[in-house]
Amino acid sequence: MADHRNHRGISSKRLSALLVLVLAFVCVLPGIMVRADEVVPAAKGVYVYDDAGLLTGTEESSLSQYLEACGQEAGCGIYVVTTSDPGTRTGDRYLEDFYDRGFDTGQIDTDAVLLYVDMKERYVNVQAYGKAQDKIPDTTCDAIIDAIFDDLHYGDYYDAFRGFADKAEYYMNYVPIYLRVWVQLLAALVIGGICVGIMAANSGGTMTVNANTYLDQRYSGIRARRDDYIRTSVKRRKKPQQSSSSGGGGSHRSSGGHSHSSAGRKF
Amino acid sequence: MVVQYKCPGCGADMHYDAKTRKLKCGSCGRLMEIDAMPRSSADAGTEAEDSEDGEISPFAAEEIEDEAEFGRIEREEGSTAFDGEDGCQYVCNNCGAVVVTTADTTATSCSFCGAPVVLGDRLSGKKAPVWIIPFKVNKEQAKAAFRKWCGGGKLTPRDFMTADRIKNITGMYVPFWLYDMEGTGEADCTATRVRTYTQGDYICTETKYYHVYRRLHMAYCKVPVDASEKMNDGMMDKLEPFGYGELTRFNMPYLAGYLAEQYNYDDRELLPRVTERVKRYANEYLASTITGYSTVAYNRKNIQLDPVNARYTLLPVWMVCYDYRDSEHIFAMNGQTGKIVGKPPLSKQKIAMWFAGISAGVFAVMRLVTMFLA
Ligand SMILES: [Zn+2]
Ligand SMILES: [Zn+2]
Repeated sequence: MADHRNHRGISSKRLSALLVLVLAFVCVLPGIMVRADEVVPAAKGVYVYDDAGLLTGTEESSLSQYLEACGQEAGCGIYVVTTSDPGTRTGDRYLEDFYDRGFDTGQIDTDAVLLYVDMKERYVNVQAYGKAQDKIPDTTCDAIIDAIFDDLHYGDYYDAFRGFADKAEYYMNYVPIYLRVWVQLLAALVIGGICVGIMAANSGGTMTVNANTYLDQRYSGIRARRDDYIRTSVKRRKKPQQSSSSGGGGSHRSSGGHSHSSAGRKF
Repeated sequence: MVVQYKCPGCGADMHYDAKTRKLKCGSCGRLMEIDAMPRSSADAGTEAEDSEDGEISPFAAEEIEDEAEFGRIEREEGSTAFDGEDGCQYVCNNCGAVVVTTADTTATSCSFCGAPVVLGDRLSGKKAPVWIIPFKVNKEQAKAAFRKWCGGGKLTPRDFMTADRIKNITGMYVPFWLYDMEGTGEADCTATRVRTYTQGDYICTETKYYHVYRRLHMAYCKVPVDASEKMNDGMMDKLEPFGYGELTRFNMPYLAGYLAEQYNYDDRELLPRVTERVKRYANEYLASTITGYSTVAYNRKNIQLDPVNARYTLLPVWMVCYDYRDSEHIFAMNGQTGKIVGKPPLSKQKIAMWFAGISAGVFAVMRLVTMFLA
């Protein structure tokens, strides 16, 4: 009887221990998952996610304001995301998930340019989504990294992030020279001037005789000709590396199905 | 010596008629074949005087005696205005008035009675034209065509187009030299053919070099050069081409009723001008025989052209004077083909309109394309 009771006592002890363990696990697990796997933009209007702690408090707040201002000028969200523990996510994956989650929860601008710095792998990645993808294709992502690469490499993170915001805004607002209003206006005026000039010049009658008018075919022709081959020279030039998403067609796609442009490299 | 063509029927003056291509009597409409007319000018004169048909025959200058005598203007030493043969006076067979001529005139009309006058002695010997293209467009057609042309100008002022302000229109035979040039053109060049192709990761530009040689024989026939000092060379050049199918042996009756001038420059003096022009053509011809190459660089080029013939030819031109806003505009029309050249007045307003219109249109298209791209 006692044995039986004893047995039951032990078994309930073990049970409660198991329960505690399960409870603890259930409680802790989401925390672990969020830290390691679930990358979530905290809220709309937050542009700096400095998990790696690369910035001081004042730097972070001033950068945040700067990103917001640049983003307003550019007409899209400009984000800086850093981490020192990317977990199992390598390469572009971290930022893609960041955007997917933000998109699902509505905590991120759907038109967005994002900079990601992974301090563990020393890997930098720039991605552009939505409207920004057309303005900032892969090659431009690469150009942005070029511009901030030195600052990143030498650890001037604050400058690098500001530089990133500047470049993102610049490319978002960039209008090719031939599409600018004043250039087109000037071109239109020049074309108009040339047309009227030709009209005025032709108003007095035009020359209608040419080199063949007076040529007498009966007495004219080739008396002798040679077309001797001498030599061949061949110049080889390496094919320029074609950008994979030149048309913005979205060769990159996040697991959430969002097409985007991207460039990344070690720094 | 003055040549005038008299109607065998009524004795009135005859002139060349572009429509029928015959001599036509102004009063009775009688037509005479050009070839039937005597080539000698003396015959023409006497024939007219011999007419005995009861009608009043015009006085000959000799029939009427002078009432008074006048001294002559002294010729100044060194004056060239009326030198040599031009010193002689021409007198109208009809009315006896002195025919007003310049040193170059070969045909005109009596300023007093309007009779067509051809100055035969200025059209003989060295100054005898070989060919002529007779007028094909008559005065009425010329006027109508000119009016139409003025109306078609996109930049001519509106009131210029509507107003009928032809001040005077003159049918004129302009002296030209028609040159035949013949010669050789030779070119030695290094030419290339360039081809691009891809090979793996490389773009290859292949250049094949060729040594090219051409020797041409070329002949240019009847290249016209205007031999009149008065005429604007550029304007005369633009009147071309003339249809040489209608080149006719020169005969004086063609000039009756028109103005005509003799040449100021002989065939030798104009040779440099024609040579320069034909060389330009020859260059183009030579270049046109070297085809199929990407680039052509000349190592040596040699064009040798020699004149073979030069024929003094009279070509028909309507000269139109037009008054517009106190200034005179001169136009020329090819009297054979009807082609018109000359600088019409330009309307600033219309220029501005076209300029603004074209610019605005182009700008609008550019913006549309931009918006489409964005
Ligand atoms: Zn008659
Ligand atoms: Zn007279």
